[in-house]
Amino acid sequence: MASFVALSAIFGPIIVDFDPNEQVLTDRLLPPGTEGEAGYHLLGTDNLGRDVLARVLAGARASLGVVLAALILGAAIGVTLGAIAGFYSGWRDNLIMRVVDAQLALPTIIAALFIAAVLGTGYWNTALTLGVTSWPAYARLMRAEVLRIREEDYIDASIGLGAPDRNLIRRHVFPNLVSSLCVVASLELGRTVLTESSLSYLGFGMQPPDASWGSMIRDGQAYIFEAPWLATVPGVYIMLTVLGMNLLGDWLRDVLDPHHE
Amino acid sequence: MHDLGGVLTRRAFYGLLTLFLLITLVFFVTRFVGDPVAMLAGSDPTEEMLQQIRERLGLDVPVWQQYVTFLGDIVRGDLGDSYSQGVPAVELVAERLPATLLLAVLALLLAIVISIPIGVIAAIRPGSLIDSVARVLAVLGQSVPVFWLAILMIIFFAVNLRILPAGGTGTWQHLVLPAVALSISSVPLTMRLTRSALLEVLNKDYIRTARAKGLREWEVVIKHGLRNALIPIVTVLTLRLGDLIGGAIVLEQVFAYPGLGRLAVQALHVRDFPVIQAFIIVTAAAIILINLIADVIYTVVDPRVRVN
Repeated sequence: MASFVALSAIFGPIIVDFDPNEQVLTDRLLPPGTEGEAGYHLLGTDNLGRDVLARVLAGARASLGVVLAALILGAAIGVTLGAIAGFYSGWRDNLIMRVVDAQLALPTIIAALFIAAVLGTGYWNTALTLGVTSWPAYARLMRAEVLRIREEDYIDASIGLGAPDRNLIRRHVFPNLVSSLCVVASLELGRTVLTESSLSYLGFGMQPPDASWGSMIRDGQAYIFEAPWLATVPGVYIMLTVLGMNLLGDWLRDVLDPHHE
Repeated sequence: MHDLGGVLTRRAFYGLLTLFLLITLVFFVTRFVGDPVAMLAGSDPTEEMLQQIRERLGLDVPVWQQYVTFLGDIVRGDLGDSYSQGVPAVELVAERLPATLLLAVLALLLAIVISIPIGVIAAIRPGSLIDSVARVLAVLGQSVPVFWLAILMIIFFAVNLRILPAGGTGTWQHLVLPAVALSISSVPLTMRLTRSALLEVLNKDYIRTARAKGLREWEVVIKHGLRNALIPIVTVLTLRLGDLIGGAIVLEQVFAYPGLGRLAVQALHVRDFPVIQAFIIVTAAAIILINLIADVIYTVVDPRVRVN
């Protein structure tokens, strides 16, 4: 399901020959499955006569792109700081983990809104906002795993052989973590899609003319009486995407971690 | 006997430390990135005007001095005046807080009423039709954007059936849709947790003993099973209250409900930083306090927690 959404995001422009931003004012608010002046609209058109399917697919590209960038950023910060906290203990561990606690004291959406208000909106600021709000999950995982792996005999052996810290983390600790990181990342991906859509619904995400699922729902809400499909269709896409990612995460956990029930 | 007072003092200290760190983060992030002066001055400000505004806001002294003043003000409960409305930010937040808390608590109660019975049934009959349906609904529920679900509910109940108002406030009918929509974000987790916690307890020896005594099945499940399974459930539910407040912030926009969320989103749009700061600090303090109270309650109620 996730791959279906990803594929449709990539190949969308080839399948649908509408420009997502092209306005045909004579074709305003056509219900799904009508033949308009500019062609056949499978999912109808919006208040400016733009094709909803083309916009949803453009939204898929934008939303998935932002979320992937955020994932890489959040994982990079979290993995680095989590590894430092787990590996060195002491004051570094204390400081990093207290910052994690402080950030987690705020619900994700509130933290994201605050950072978005400070940084500003738009594509890259949204990616940055989502990345900065998602790092604590990786930091906690990384710290716990590093603490566990550090107790293993082969780490003692490497230290005995005089391996520098950097090599220890890169050669021995990190490869042991990849599978649990993948599980957390795919679950986190779904959550980030939801946060991104809430942000852009509230007007703090990507800005027009970029189509984003959340802002499409917000715009569609004004027309729930005469054109309910405008708010409905993008939500179905969000749900399918998140569902696909959650199922992928569960499946990865079952495959990679035999201990988990 | 473990030192109960010591445990609680340490937890309270950690709570305060967390809040202090968060306040520090908020202070430096706003000072570091945002520029409220340029915004207040409007277009084409003279250097004199800018200087006046900086002095009025206390931004003309070194940052560390501002930080110390800021901390002192917080201790006195003064978080500055709203840039856009000119009244104390704390008052604005305090005025809206009850409406949001009401919504969050209603949603929490609804989530309990919906999810615990379903979780219990699923645990008594694992693999049954109800268990499978509940599992599918839980997976779906965790994937759905709640604000979108809320709009679907408006389309169905307010536009098509015309039995509930689409938004606003005033009567209890106005609370129904927002509270139900918000509770749906908590139901899947609580339900799954009730199921797994109860399943684990039902395999214990004392449950077999209770059955062997000839107790009726519902007595075994409710009195001996559910009671012992409640601790993890209560813990997660109190932790959910923070996410419920977060969810309420978004849903208040959908339903035009005049709570903290609407205040915060308006303040965020015009970068009214005193109000934003007050909103974040009050929300975080409320969440930390709730967690602390939950800690206290189950430390007192369950002797097993104290040992750890």
